[in-house]
Amino acid sequence: MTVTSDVLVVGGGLHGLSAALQLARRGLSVVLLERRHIGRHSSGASAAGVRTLGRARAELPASLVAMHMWHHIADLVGDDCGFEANGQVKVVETEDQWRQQASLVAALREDGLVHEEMIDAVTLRALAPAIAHHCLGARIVRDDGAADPHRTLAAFHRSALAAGVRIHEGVGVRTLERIENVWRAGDGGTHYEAPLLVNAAGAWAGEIAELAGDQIPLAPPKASMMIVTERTAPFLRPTVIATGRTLSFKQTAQGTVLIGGGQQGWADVSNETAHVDVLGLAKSAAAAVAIFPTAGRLRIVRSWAGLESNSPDGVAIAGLSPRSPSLMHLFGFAGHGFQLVPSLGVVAAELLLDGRSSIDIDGLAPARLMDGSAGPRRTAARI
Amino acid sequence: MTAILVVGAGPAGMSAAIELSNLGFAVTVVDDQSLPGGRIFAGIETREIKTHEERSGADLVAHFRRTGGTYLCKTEAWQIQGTKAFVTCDGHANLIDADFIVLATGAQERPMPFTGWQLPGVMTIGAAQILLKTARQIPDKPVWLAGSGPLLLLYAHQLKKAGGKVAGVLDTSRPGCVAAAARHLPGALPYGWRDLLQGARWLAEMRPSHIVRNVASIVARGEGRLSDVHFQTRSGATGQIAAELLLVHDGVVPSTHNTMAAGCGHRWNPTQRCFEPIVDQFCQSTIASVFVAGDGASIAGGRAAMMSGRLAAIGIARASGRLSEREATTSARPLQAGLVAAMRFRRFVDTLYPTVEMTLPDEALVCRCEEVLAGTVRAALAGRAQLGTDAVKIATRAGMGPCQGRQCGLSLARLVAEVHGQPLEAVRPMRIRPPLKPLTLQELATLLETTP
Repeated sequence: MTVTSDVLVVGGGLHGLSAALQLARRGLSVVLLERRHIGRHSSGASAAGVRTLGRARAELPASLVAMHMWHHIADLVGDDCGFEANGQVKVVETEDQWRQQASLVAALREDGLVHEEMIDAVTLRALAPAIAHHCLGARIVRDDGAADPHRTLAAFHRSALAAGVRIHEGVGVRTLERIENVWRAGDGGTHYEAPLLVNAAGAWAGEIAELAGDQIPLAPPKASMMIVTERTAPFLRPTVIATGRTLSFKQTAQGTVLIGGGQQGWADVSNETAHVDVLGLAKSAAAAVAIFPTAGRLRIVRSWAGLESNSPDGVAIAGLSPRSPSLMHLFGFAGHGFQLVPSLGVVAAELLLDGRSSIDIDGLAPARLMDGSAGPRRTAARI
Repeated sequence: MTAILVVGAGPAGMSAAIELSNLGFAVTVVDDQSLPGGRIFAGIETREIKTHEERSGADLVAHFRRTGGTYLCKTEAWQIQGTKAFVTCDGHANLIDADFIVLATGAQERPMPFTGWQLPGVMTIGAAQILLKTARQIPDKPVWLAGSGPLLLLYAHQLKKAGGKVAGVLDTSRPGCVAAAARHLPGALPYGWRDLLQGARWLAEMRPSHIVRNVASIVARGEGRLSDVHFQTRSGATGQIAAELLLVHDGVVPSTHNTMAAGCGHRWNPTQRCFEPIVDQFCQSTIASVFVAGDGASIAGGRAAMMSGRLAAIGIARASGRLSEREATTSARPLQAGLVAAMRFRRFVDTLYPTVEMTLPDEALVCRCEEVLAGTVRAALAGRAQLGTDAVKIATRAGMGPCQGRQCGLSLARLVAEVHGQPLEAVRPMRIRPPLKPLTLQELATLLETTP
C-alpha cells in the first residue's frame, strides 16, 4: 500500500506537530509518522519552560517571535496551553555572578534587545518571597513564563488533526529514498510518498537524516532529569533558574514543584528509554534547597529522565538540507526546544514552500555542522 | 567479605537474614517499620501470644534479633539500582552498596476499585487489620465487609474475638469456584490442612443470615462520607444496605514496585491475575545479584515466605561460591519441596477465591490521588491503539499522584486491555519512577553528604 501526500513529517513530538500544523494551514496535505505515540519522548517529559532569557544568539530571533506567539497561543491552537507569563528569573548569588550577568544584559541592550533586565534583591524578593536571603538579585525576562506540557501537546495534536493532518501512530520509518523528486518512506509494509519531508525525529533524527543522505554529526542524546513534588499552597509564580548551579525550579498550576535544569541521567537510545541517576537527582535537590530553603520539607512524588536530541554546539538544528530544498531538518534542541515550537513550525512551512523564512534562522542551519558539500556522495568519496 | 542487603523484615526477610548470617555473610536488614515482623507478625514483640502461628512468629523474631545481622528499623529503601540501594533513616539518605540484595518486600492488597471507594468510611480489610493488630483499634459500630478471600474470614474472626461486630458480608466469591477448587483439595491438604480447618471454623462463625452471596458489583454512596451501599448479584438482584463502615478485600498480590524498579523481569500469573518477578529455584531474579523471597515473589503466605527466605540465602551462597553446587542442592531440596507443597495449597485457595474484577463504570474513580474517572481514561484511549498505561498517565494524569500507581496501576491496565481488546497480561505495567518510598527534597539532598 502507498499513502501519498504533499509533505511527510517524521516525528510526532511538538516540533513535528507544529510544522505539520503550519504546512496544513497553508493548504498542503500532510502525513505525520510517529513510531510510538504523540509526545512519547522529550515533548511528554518536558518542563515546558517558555524562556527567551539567556537564549543563544543564534536562537534568539526565532525565540522572540515565539514569545509573541506564546502570548497569543490560543489564537494558534485554540487553547492557552496553560501558559502563564509569570517571568523567568535567573538568580544571582555572588558579586561576580552579578557583574557577569549584568554585562550579558548590557550586551543585548547594545544590540537593541531590551527583553532582559537586572533586578535587585528587594525586587527579587517581591517576585519570589521564599527565595534564600543570600540571593543578591537576578537577571529577568518578565514576559517569559511556563506552560503545561500535556495541555500543549493535546492542543497541538487537536489542531493538527483539525487542520487535516493525517497522523499515523505506531509507524516507524525504516527506509527512506528519494525517487524522481518524491520522498518515499517505508515502515516495512506501507510506503509513504511526498515531495517534501520534515525530519523532526528527536533523538533519532540523526538516523533519519542519514537515511535521507545527510550526515549531521550530533552529540550523544541527553537524558535530562526532573523531580516533581507533592502539591503545596501557592508560593511562587515565576520560573527560577540558578547561575552557579544546575537548577530550574517552578511551581505548577497544580501546586506541585517541578525541579529540573539539566542534571543528566542515562540515555538508552536503542531501548527508547532513559534512566535517572540518583546522585544527580540529589544535586538537583541540594540546589533547590539552597535557593528555596523552605522547599526542603516537600515530599518528592516522582523523578524521571526524558530523552532528547542534542547538537554539538548546544544550538537547535532548524533549516533545509544543504543538499535538497525539499528536506527540512528540525531537531537537536538539547533541552530548550519547547519555547521554539510555535515559531519554528512557521519557519518549516516558509522554508519548504517559499524557500526562505521571515525569521532569521541562519545560525540554526544544519550546514554549520556538516563539513564541505554535504550529500550521500560525500560518504562514498571518503571511502 | 561478601555483603548482603535484605530489604524487609517480615518472615522472608528475617529467615533470609538468619540463614545468611549462619552461612557467614555480613548481612544488613533494612525495614520501614519500627519493629521486625512484617505485616503478618506486625508488633508481635509487644503482643500477647495466643496462637500457634503467633508463637512461631515470635520465635522467628527473637531468633532474628539474636543472629540476623545488622538490623536498621524505620529505614526506607527508596531506590534500588543493581546492587546499590538508596535508603533514608531519620531524615538522612544513604547509599548501601552490597554484593547481593534480597528483596523481601511482601504483598499488598489487590486494589478493589468501585464507584464510591474513595468515600470516607470505606477502607480495606488489610488496613483495618493492621489497626486492630498494632493499635487495638476496634470499630465502635458493626461493620460491613465486602469481597472475598482468607483475610476477610480471618479479620471477621479476629474482630469478633476483640469485641467488635460484623454487620454482614457482601460475598463476591463465585459459587462455581467451590467445585473447581475441590479438585485441588487433595494436593492442598499436606501443607495446608491446619489452615483449612481453621478457615472452616472461621466460616462457620459467620452468621449465614448476614451474608449476601454472589455479589457482582457494589456502589458506595453518601454525602461526604459513606451512608449506604448498593449492590447487584450475578443473578441480577439488587439491594441496598445502610453502612457507616465498609471494609473491602479482594486478595493480595506481590508488591512489585521494588522488583520492577530494580529492573527484574516479570511474568503474568494467570491464576492470581497479577505480575510477579521471575525467579528460579533459588529465588534468583533475572538480575544475577538480586534475589526475591516471600510474598513479593509469589503469594504463598507466611510459612512459605520463611522457606523462600532461607532458599534465597542458600541461592546467594551458591552464587557467591560459599556453597558448592552439591551442597546448595542438598540444603535447598527440602525447602524447594516445601514450597511446591505450599503452592499446591495456594492453588486451592486461588481457585476458591478468584479476583472479582468488578466492571469499572465511567463514573468510578480510577486514580484517587489525581481524581481521574474511568470514563476519562476510556475517552483518552479511544482510537489510539499505541497508548499504553504510561501514555494514558501523561494524557490524563491518572497514576501521577503520591501512590505512584500502587492503587490505580492495575485499573489503568484493565482499561487499556478493555479499550484495545487485548488480554490483560499483554498490557505493560506502568513504569515505576523513583522514589519508591516517601522522600523529601531535604532528605535527598543529604545523600551528597554521605556519598562521594
